[in-house]
Amino acid sequence: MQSLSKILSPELTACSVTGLTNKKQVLEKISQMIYEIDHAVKYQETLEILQQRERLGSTAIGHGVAIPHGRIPHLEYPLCVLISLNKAIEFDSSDAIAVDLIFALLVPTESDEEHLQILAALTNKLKSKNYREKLRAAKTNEALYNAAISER
Amino acid sequence: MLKKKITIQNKLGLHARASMKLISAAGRFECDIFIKHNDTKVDAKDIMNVMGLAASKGTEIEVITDGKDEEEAMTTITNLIKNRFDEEE
Repeated sequence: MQSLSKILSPELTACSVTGLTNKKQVLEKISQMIYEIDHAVKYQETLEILQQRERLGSTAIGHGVAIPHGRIPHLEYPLCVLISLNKAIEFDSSDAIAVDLIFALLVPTESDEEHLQILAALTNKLKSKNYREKLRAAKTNEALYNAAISER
Repeated sequence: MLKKKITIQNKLGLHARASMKLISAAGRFECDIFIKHNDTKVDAKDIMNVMGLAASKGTEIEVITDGKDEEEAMTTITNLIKNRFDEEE
């Protein structure tokens, strides 16, 4: 199974973020974080791709988790931006639970099989209540990152 | 109880959007619906479990329906998969 440590990184992890009150702001934050790591990935383009995907159907998958995602030009390898929110927001989840854990998955445009494997690895971990609680208990970016990549 | 084997045909496989369409379709039925892939059997009404299968194009899965509206459920789910989740390829 795909290891999440290959796609997550401390630089793309933000813990207990405040000031984001809606979906759009979350997607803007994600796009901003990627751009800061890699200027070849355009902020506006990434934002539009993520927004477009949300318009097709909410990427909230229940239990307060959302997985915005998209295929991004100029991205060389898959990346996952992890954000935990201080205050959960409306994300049109089918279970009506507000979202406070966001794993944004960005993959190169040609990636098919790998994208699927990563998505599966992510959702299989997120199924565990214990895992979600560990993520929510984290107080710093580093703690959140470590909780996210922990194998247990 | 009905069981039917079917192959995933769309290019992107059971990715997020396709999985959501599957859940949405499955959720409309009263009966139990499961998707089986090798030894893993998951509730087709549960998004995290369905996405966790990583069922790519060409993967053979088994759809299992059990209950009052099992026939209609089987037809709907298998048609959805056969129609490639209404995706272009």
